[in-house]
Amino acid sequence: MDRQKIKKKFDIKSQKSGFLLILAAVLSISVILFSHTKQDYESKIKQINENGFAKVRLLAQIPYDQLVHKNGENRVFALTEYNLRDPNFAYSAVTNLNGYTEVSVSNSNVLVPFLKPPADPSSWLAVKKLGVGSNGKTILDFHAPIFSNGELKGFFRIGYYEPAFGLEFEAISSYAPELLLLLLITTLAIYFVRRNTASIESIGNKIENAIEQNQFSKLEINPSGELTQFMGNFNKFMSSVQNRISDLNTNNRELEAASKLLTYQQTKIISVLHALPEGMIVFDESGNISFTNTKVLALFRATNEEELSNDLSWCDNKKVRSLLARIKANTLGNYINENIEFVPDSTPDRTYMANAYPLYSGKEEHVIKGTMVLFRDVTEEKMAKNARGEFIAHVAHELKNPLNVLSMYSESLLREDGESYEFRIEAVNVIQDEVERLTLLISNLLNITKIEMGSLEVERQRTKLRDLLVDIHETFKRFENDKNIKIELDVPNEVSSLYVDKDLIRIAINNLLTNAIKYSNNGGKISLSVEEIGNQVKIYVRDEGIGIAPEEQALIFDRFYRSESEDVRARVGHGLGLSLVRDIVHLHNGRVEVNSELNKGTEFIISLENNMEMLGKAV
Amino acid sequence: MENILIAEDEPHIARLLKSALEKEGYKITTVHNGVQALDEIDRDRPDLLITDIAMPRMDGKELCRNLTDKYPERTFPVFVLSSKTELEHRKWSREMQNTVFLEKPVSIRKLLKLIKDNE
Repeated sequence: MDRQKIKKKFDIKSQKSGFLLILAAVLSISVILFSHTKQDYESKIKQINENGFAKVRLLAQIPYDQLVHKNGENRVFALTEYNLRDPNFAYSAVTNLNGYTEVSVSNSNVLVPFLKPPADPSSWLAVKKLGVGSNGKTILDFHAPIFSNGELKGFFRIGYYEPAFGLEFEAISSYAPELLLLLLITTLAIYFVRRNTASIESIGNKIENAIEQNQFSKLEINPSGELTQFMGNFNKFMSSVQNRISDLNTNNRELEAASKLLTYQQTKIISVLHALPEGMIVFDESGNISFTNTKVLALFRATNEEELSNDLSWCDNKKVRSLLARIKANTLGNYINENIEFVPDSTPDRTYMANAYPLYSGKEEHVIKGTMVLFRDVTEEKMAKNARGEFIAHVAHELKNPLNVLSMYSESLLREDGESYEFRIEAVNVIQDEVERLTLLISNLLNITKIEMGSLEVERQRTKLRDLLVDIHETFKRFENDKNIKIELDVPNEVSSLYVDKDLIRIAINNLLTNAIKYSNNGGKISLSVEEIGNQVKIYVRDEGIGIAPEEQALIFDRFYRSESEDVRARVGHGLGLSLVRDIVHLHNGRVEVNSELNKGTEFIISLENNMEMLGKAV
Repeated sequence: MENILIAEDEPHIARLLKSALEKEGYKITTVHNGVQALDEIDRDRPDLLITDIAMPRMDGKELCRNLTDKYPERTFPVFVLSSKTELEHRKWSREMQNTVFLEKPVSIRKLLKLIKDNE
């Protein structure tokens, strides 16, 4: 509301109350005057009636003859002359039975009006209002019968002017003090009302200013009288309003901060959900989709979330659609926890798992508020599972083979019919070979598993490579005679020490040498040598054996890989040796390579970085 | 029964079987895989085939399938040697005509008795 309007309202209000007070005073005065006038009028009428009747009755007792004097002496006048001093007196007269005036006296030349004598004796003594007299006034005509010797002779009539209903000037003077008092009281009342209204107006203006300036504080007004208490209470109220506003402002600021924090956290959570590697769909308790992350869009080839409508037509996979439909239909909050595996049309080379999880209410743990479906790429997991199964099958097979050989040879040795000496020697050798094969297999298997699981701790130490190779060479020298082969060692006197796990490097070189012997032909040559180029140390294991076909050279380091070549199959092996060599070399951040030619020979090179420069050269 | 063909890629076992059966007077030919076995059967029909299952190039199962295709009226028996870890092979070998499924390690004594029983 604007200021002018408020002001006008206050003005009108104060003026209205003034008018009302004046009006009330005028009304009061009018009522008083009316009441007095009425009382005065009624009293006059009563007096005239009493007077009129008393006089006509009395005067009608006078003998007619006496009343009507033939000598012209007007006795009636004598009897009624004092009436002339009565301002209301109009006339007195004696009329005969015909109604004509016999004798009369009147005030101010009033003519006695004609009155037909009443026929009915009950109306003989009566008053009658007669038409207006010559001066325009109404006359009350009192009349009484005059008898003479018991005979009606005529009527005595006295006329009085009917008193006017109104205030006479003289009467006003008698009311003047009361009226003045009333006017005084009214004026005073108006003054006080105006004074209080002014205070209220002033308070109104201040409140208006406060509203305009948005300042809810105490008003500096000191009114008098009852308004003092009002202002005190009002200021208390304003003070509590001010405190409340201050509290609300503080709460509002806190709420704003909390709301910002919540928005930030919500944004963060949603961005995390979108960044998840899994696809996610959340169904609310009514079975409607309430959230989908971007991975789901990609998975089902949708461009935006709106496409993922509740009719599930977007889902191009029958198994998934069936699962989602079951979740949608589950509005009773039943527990749904299902897993299905599927291949999405969008990525036919990948396998996904859809897992449904019930979402519980935070407050009531047993109340299910919806269902979350996660879509997880399980391709690697599945491959790893298959690989694990294959690995175990391979291991079992590789363990079973030597055990079969051991079993069959030992049974033959026990046969009662006896075997030749040569067979027995051969059987014992076979048994020994197979036991060695089993031992190596188990040892390689354990080492590979430990390396894979990360439980094998690489214990690097300063290792004199020359000493290590000389030692290995000594160990393998004993095989020279068995296969009529030559194992040579070519290590410079001065070769760098390496910071390696000596035992693991020994296993790697042993495996390479074992292979070299296994695949060498009779009379072949094997060499173990070292070359140092810059900070690289290369260890060579060369043989002149059957060689490896070019297409197989990339496969020989794979676990359990064995060539199908008859030359290879004619020799026992388990396909783990080279795999372990590669693992050990990789553990040392090194590299293993193969160069080979069929029927010419094979060369394996282990390249290790010489990280011992700080320790100097070992001799 | 005179000629026995042994298909076995494990050299020690092949050698032991050959030695034990030759001692009983059988004429033994050993091959290392299914392909060689089929060639050998084409060349000289044996009186008995003893074959391992796990072999390179062509395994025992494929060898048997090829035999059935090639020689539906085969009269010579086939002994299939397999580890206990390869039970999945029991069913098809039992369903084959004139075929015996033997678990490794196979006892030489039992094998000789079985050969005699099939003569």
